[in-house]
Amino acid sequence: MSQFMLILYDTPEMGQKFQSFSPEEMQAAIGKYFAWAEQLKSQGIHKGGNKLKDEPGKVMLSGGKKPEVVDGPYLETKELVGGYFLIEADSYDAAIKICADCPQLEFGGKMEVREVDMF
Amino acid sequence: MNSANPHSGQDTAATQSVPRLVEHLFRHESGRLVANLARTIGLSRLDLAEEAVQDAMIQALRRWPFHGVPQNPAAWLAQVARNRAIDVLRRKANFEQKKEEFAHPLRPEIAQPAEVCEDALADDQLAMIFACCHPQIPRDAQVALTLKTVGGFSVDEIARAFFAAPTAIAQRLVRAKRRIKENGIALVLPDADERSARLDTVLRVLYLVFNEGYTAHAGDRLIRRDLCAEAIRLVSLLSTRKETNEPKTQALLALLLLQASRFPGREDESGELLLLDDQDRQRWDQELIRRGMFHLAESATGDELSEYHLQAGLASLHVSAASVAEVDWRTVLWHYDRLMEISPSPVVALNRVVAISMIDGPAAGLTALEEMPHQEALRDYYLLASTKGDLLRRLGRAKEAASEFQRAIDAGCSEPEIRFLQRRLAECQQAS
Amino acid sequence: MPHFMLILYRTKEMQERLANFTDEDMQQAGRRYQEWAAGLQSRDQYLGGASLAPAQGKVLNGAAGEMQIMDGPFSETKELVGGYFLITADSYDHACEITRTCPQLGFGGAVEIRQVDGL
Repeated sequence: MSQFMLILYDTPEMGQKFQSFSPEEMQAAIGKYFAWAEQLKSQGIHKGGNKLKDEPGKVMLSGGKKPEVVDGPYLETKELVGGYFLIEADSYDAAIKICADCPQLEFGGKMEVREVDMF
Repeated sequence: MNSANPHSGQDTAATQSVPRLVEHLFRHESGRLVANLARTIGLSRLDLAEEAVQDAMIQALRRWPFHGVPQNPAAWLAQVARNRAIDVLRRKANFEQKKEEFAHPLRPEIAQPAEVCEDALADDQLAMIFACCHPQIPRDAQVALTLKTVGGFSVDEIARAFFAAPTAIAQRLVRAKRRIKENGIALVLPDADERSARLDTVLRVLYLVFNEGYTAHAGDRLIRRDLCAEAIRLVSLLSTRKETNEPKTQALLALLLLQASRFPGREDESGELLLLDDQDRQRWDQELIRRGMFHLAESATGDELSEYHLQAGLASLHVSAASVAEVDWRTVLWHYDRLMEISPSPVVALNRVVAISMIDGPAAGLTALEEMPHQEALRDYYLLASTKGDLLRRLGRAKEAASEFQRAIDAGCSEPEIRFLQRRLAECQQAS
Repeated sequence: MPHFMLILYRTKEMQERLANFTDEDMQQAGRRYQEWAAGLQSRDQYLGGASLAPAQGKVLNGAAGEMQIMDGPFSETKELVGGYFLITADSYDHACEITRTCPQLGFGGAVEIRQVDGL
């Protein structure tokens, strides 16, 4: 079993979609995330996750002698890392399959699947 | 690595099994929270209250998947919405100070944490219902505003339920909110002396909401079912508050429950609507019937006989009969006679004709129909032609009946009714 | 105590540099990360961390309405998330201070610092 990190990127499309949701639709959407996570938990392959604050944070760049601190985000795209999940899976293919079921994608977000190499 | 799972944030919820959210929690909380916030920041800032609550729910959607449901989801939403509203007001106040203009002082109470008891929430919601149904707001806007603000329905959902364009619904809401500002409508319960009259408007709006969901037009079926549930929830709320618990409130609640009890029998396996004659009475919801009967008994106090008393009485006669033939038609007729006195309408008049025909036969029914006032106004109404057609059919005058059924079909009505009429038409054409 | 996630980006410069590393250089680099993590641990600032395998990452995109699966990396400018640390710190400033000594910056990489969102 390997560990995989699913990095969730929030996109502008996703923000717009959430903005247009009715209370009922929001509750249904939360239910979908829970159902997804519940499935992983029942198989014992849900290893956790965190939401990152919706602020761009800070970025440290290795410039000259002293690292430089600038405002985030680092990526020059419209997306922001919104959070991540850690899961266990046998292979990349299995991890991608789990990822593809995540509601994040249905709501217009993006996800990156990366295998964890312990330090 | 620490013993606690660092990937579960500062909370262990992510690895625990998730508590289920109560059904419609967000929709119902939305109404309660908007009412509570609007009471604090003023009804003229209804838009801000709605935005803040919407924002809190988006926050929940973005955070709960990672953290799980907080211990008290309603309190969490209330706190986030409140913080959001305060933020916006503060920023606005700063901005206005910079312009050296009058800055609206923040009322200190909204800086308090949201420890609002259930009673206060219900009071706010009650006041909000009265505000939405204020006589200064046009009727169609009252309905939309009540659904949006009290019921937590979105513009799209209301549009789907009413088979209207979302922009049309949005315009109604804008109009309603403008009226609130122009007329300085406040979020308070009306004084005792005008409360009963204002309650009439509220009950009428909730009755309309229910009927919109219950009667068979076009529109999203699921949402329409939700409209009925929402109307029942709000009338129930009115019935539990001493300020609004009048006999007519109990009567309307009884009526809605008895009507709703027929939901399970109203559709066949494919989801098609069935007419009363074709419904399987075994499938009607006995629990709702029991509750409806209870509130009908509760409504029998005081000396006011409202339209809701009579309609609920009629519904009770239908649900307590084992078949259409066993309905107590004499009592039904008595109810329609009373209804003709206090709120006459073509539909009531036609139903009265049906009752007469069930008691004294189709010929008597036909006579009553011909004596009915305002025939001219009803000429293009399918129910007149279909009622007449049915009386003629029962009299064996198949050819005349067929032409009436054809006229009813041409007048336009719902799909299941058209199918029913076509069946009758075919029978009559064969017989003649 | 707030939690922070340090997202370690391998910039193009860093990737070029790593490409010329010998196996021994790589081992050496790995040890520097381990030592840095041990330092965090000794100060009770370490919550977790891992390096992410550079190869085979996949990106799932739901923004276009239907889901697309593409090869990574996520960013078009070829930066790659190389790993992460979860730490505790008093504030963003404190987290930046801690990050100053992170080996990632010594190898020409960049670090995005994001506060974890508690409930």
